[in-house]
Amino acid sequence: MRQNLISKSTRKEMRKMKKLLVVVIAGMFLLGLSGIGMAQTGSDNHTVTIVINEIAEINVTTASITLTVTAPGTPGADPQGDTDNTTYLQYTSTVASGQTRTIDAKLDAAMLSGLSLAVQATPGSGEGTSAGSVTLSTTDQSVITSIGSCATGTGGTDGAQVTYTLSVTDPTQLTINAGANYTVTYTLTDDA
Amino acid sequence: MKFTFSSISIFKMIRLTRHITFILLFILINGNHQAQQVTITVTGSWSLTIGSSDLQGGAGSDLNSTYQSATNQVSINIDKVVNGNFWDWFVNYNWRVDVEKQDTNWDSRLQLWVHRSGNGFGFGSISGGTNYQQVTNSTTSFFSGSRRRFWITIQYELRNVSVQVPVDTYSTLVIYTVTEL
Repeated sequence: MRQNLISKSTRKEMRKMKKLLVVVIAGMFLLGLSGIGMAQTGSDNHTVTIVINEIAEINVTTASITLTVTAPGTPGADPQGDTDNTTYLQYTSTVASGQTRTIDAKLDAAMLSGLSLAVQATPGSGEGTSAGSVTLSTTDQSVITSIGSCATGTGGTDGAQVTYTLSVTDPTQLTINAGANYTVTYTLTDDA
Repeated sequence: MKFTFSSISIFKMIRLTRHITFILLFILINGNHQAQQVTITVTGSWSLTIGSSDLQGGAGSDLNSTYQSATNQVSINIDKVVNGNFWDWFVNYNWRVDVEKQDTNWDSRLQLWVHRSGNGFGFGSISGGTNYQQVTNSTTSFFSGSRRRFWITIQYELRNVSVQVPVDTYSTLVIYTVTEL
């Protein structure tokens, strides 16, 4: 008679080991499956930085103009002044959001007695606001205000057209001369 | 009476089974940590400053609208460590790289474009991405290939610049994602 003698506790131990082995093998199987099912990804990155700097560039299109006081058409009337509108102010401006600029103008010397020189600048749309007719002096005065970011263009008639008006304010103070030269300076500046 | 199993050999079997189980458990735990993962490494960045020297023609003119980075501004490595030695160059797997950006401070008028300017080095293949494509805030496919590949060069273009873009410092994070196919 052959008998297999395995005690109850031994059989219990063997069953426990068998269960643990099954769980471990199942876990390895599932791990392998999950590796097959999921697409592996990785990522990396870097920064792109763009700096836009302020730009304030202005150009006057004519090197010089000539304004002449002439005799009146009617004797006894005041001598006549002169006008010129061949000059343009061309400018490029970049500003931070909400910021604006102004173009000021001034003479380098006081006008001859009995005369005044006025300037009126007319900018294009989106290129500032005209300050109207401004009588020039040796002190900066605004001729175009509220200029934001813009570029007027560089063609022959691009930019703010400037109309100069020479007026006789007191004919009794006029004196004959060969010509007086003045420099008009335009400055594009930040508003406070 | 004859006993076919002695008590001693049964206990030996139990001990052996216990040892095998613990060894398999060890492999299960450690094997998970050593799973092979495709990786992407991006080297380099791009910083551009635009000012009066970039006007098309002096006072009155607008800014140049397009700016290019160097052809090798950024480089990308695709890798997967399998053996941890030279033979990893020959391990075969397919991958795809996607690109997107996440803005920190950006102006919607600015357009960032990217293209793959070089093939890099590897014993597999690489294709796509040689034409400029716009980098947006959504993930888009960029280029694909196979096997380990290093030093894939990337070039950028900034488009649609004008004086209408306010003065400021703009920044965006360009993200490259590799997916093993």
